[in-house]
Amino acid sequence: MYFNLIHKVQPGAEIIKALKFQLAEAKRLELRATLLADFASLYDEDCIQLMRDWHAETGGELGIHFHPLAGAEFERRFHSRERAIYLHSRERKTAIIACFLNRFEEVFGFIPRAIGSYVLDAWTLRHIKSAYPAVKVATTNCFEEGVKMFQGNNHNWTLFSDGGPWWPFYPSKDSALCPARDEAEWLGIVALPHLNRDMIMALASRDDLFSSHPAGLFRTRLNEGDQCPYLFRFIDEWITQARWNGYSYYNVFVSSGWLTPQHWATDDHREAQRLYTASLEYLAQKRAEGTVRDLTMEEFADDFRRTVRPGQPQACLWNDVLTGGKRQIFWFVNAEYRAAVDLNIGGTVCDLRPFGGRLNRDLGPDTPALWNGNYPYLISAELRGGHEHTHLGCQVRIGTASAWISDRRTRAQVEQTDERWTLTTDPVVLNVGNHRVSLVTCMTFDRSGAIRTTRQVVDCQPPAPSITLRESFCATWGTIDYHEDMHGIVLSATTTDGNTTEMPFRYDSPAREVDRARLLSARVPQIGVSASLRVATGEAGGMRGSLRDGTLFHPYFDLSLEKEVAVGEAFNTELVLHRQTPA
Amino acid sequence: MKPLICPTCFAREIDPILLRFDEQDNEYYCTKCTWFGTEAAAQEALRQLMFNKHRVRIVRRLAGSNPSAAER
Repeated sequence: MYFNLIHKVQPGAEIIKALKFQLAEAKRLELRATLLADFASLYDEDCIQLMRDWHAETGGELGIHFHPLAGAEFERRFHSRERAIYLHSRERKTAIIACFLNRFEEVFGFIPRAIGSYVLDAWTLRHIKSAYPAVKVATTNCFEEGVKMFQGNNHNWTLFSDGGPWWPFYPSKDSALCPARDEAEWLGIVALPHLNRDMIMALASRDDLFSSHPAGLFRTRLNEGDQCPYLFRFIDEWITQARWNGYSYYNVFVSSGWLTPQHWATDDHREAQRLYTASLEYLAQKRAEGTVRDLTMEEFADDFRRTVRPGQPQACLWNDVLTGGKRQIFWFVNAEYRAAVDLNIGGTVCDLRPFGGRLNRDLGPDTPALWNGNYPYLISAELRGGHEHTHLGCQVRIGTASAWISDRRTRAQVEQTDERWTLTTDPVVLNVGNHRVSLVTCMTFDRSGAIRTTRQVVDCQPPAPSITLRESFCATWGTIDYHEDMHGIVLSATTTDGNTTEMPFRYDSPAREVDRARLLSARVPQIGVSASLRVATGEAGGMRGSLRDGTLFHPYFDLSLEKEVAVGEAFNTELVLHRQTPA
Repeated sequence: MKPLICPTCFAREIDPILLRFDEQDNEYYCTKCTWFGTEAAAQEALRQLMFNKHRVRIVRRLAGSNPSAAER
């Protein structure tokens, strides 16, 4: 597992004292580390000296971090109260970036290779690469920090970057949360996440508290004094992710304020210091065992360039290391979409971000998105009323009785062969009337925009003459937790003989049933995609299909295909995401 | 049997989040958060949360009618 240890340099006697403690621990453990200076630090002699000493003594990496934009020099130059680089206009961003990087070069004699912010949009990254080609790598986003984090911080911290990858990736030129398909589409800077996140709590809670920054664990009081076993299970869980990726990545991006005596997050800052030391010692121990490799951000970017190509998918099977419960979530991201499959609801897709539209999510007062950097979803169980409203799931029917796979939790295994990832669940056992039906789900993911799903009935007791499987793609669109306007969405069905029926989303239309359906589609111009649920190759003939729009109360559309099966038989479908010209 | 409320979701004032039952593990679990446990654990957690959440009001009400109860 690659390991980046990154420290943020900020002025202030207490902060610097805590930072010196952090650096002393890194030095004692011979960990490669990066120092990223904020704006004010580059005009603070103590900060500058600390960085020079660190660089001279250890060869440690120096760079800049764009947050916060603060201090007397910033006020003097820009007369601005906006602390977040990502929320400035392009004109102002250009001026700040020039001032910041030129000052860094003036102080240290070189342009930094490593930079960072909580959010950096595509325009900003392209501009930086164009104006300062030496920059190689940046922390660009906070995985799944959006609505839930905003609610948790009392609507006080305007940072929305839901919907992107959780790991290092090659951002596309058009949209910084969409991975580039190839070298030509890449904007030229390797993107790193701001911290690793708990991949279950990323959906179930606010993942800034459950991350690789130990301060978050103190903020949520997950510690008992200087003890927090969760942190070590968390590190182990990330090491495990190499199984289905060939590598793993972990970064600890730590500020220093939480290690000072007066900080609210801790009862006793010495406990926080001891836990911080223990976590670094653990990573150093893993390095000694050969499973962790510490390096600077630039060194990582160079290695990543050599070993991982743009467009290479990433997968994550995350266990509940917080409570030790049975829950698992599988995540997959490629250049076409990001999907999450929740095994706690039987192997139902609970989150889906289609990247085909490459929507511009640039931020600032001079952009349409303003503050909202979230990449839109088609499925978001967490933000839109649970898996009942948006999902890719399956209903089982026998006669008039029915059950959903989401009625039962299960576990899953992942297999990776070449560039294909296969998720196979343990059987879910559903009570369907008087029958107990066992069903296994197998989902296949690759570079393409398709998710191939097989639902196989492996048992039914007592036997039933016929079992109906209904594969349901229930979706909507949005970036936050409120409903959006669904006008303009068009549902359609194509039969085996090539006839196509269209059904515009008009709110509360009668459902449309279609015999011999091969392909059901939803064109969603608002997010530039078309999503199709189709009968997979190898399935004979057409299936019964249905199209449903939603209401204002529940504005979700549903595309469903049905098949009658016997025990041992399966239903194979594909959800395919295409680019559609945005509205 | 009445459905069980998820104590964690209750604490976050989200409703109605009802626990599901896993027959294989003889255990209740929440589909929204990470809570899991026995029926008794769910009921006890909920009872504690209800007491803590409304404690001030309960104490005031009791104090109005029976001051000695508030001291308990």
